[in-house]
Amino acid sequence: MKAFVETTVLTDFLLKLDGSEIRARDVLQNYEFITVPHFAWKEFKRGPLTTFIWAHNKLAETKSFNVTLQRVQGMSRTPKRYFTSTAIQAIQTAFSANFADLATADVFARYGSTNFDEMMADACRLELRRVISRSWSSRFRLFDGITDTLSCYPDAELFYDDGMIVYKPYDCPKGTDCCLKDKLSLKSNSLKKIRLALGKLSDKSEIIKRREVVKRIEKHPSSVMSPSDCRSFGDAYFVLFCPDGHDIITTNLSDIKPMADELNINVVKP
Amino acid sequence: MSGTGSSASNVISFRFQASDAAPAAESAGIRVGGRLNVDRADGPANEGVLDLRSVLIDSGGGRLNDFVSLSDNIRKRLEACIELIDGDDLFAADNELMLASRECQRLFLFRDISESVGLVSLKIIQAAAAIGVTTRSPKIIKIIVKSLNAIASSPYMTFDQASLLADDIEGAAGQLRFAGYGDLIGALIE
Repeated sequence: MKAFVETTVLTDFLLKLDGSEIRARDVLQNYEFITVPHFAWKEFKRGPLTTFIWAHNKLAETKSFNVTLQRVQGMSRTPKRYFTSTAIQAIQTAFSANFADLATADVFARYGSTNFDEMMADACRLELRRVISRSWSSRFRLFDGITDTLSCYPDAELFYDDGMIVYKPYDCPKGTDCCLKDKLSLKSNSLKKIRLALGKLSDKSEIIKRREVVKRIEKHPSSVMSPSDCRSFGDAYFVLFCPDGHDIITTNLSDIKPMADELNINVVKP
Repeated sequence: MSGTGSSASNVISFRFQASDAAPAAESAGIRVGGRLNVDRADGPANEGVLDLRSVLIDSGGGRLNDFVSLSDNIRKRLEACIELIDGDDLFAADNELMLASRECQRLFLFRDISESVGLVSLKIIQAAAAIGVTTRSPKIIKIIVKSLNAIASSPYMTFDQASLLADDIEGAAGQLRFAGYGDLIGALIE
């Protein structure tokens, strides 16, 4: 059996701690061949990895776990209230229990005061740095390495500068004509099926943009496909470029399965 | 490894850039006798390998000395703990472990020395806290001893090297997470 890994499952496998990483690992163990396309890594870096890097750099900047959590809450798109003051206090109490011995006069006399909020910020930041570094550097050796290399995407290493993680370039350069376009121009029949499938989905802006890009490439294959178009194209990549005989492994069934069904591609959710 | 050196009387000043050559230097077992002034003006950017327990460090403040000394104290306690376990003296073994675990917490106060010290110290503290019954955990205690040796010998090891040590510790102790980290991750990936 052969697997084609989509970005959501890559994210679960590399970054999550809520059990979804275990489900991802378990389902992938069923496959003899596992393909992770370069496109998934590109989306991974631009999406969840960027978020992690932001959190790392925010912890470095604020030196405060408390303040960083508030910033995270402020950046949240949904009105979830993860971090009420009570919840934060409970977390900090649990964390400081690991360092109970440090809250003594002897330690204070020898090392100065111990700021648990700052210690917690450093502990989180170090853990984040480790996860970020390991996940991005694994792209050449995870499973069978990167497949379907994108010639227009400037793959680059992360580097650490003055306490912050730097990860430029963020995306393909402006003005680039996507390297996928030439291959897509040979898939006009599949593009038509995808476009029709997208037409039956909801009118969320992401779907509308995807449909417009697919339609433009289908009808005008010589038109430029910009980096922005490529981002909008997104999920359609995994359906149109899924190798023969592979299952698409994704948690995003609602967007991917309708397209995959049109091309008789099997989709598996961990 | 590249470097420049100068000497005045019996003091040798040596600035080194050794991150690429670190594995080779470590396998060569660099030893320096006499007094060594390590210019760390560039801080962690000059990550390199030097066995600090075979030199006297005069780098202003003695924090590195304190860290190495603390690491050695903890290591000795844990080695005593292992001996006591082997001798079936379990209460005494657990007593040594409790004392060592308390001292482990202080390792994190030296995280300003380098990112690698911070990461390895964190994992040692978590691993020590994760030990339940001493007699069932000699493997974890041994990996903590090994990690203490490594970080005390090479506090400026690269972060990648420190991450490998962290992997070894988690390989023995299981995945180690502290309060708050999972909540943070959950909020970051909605």
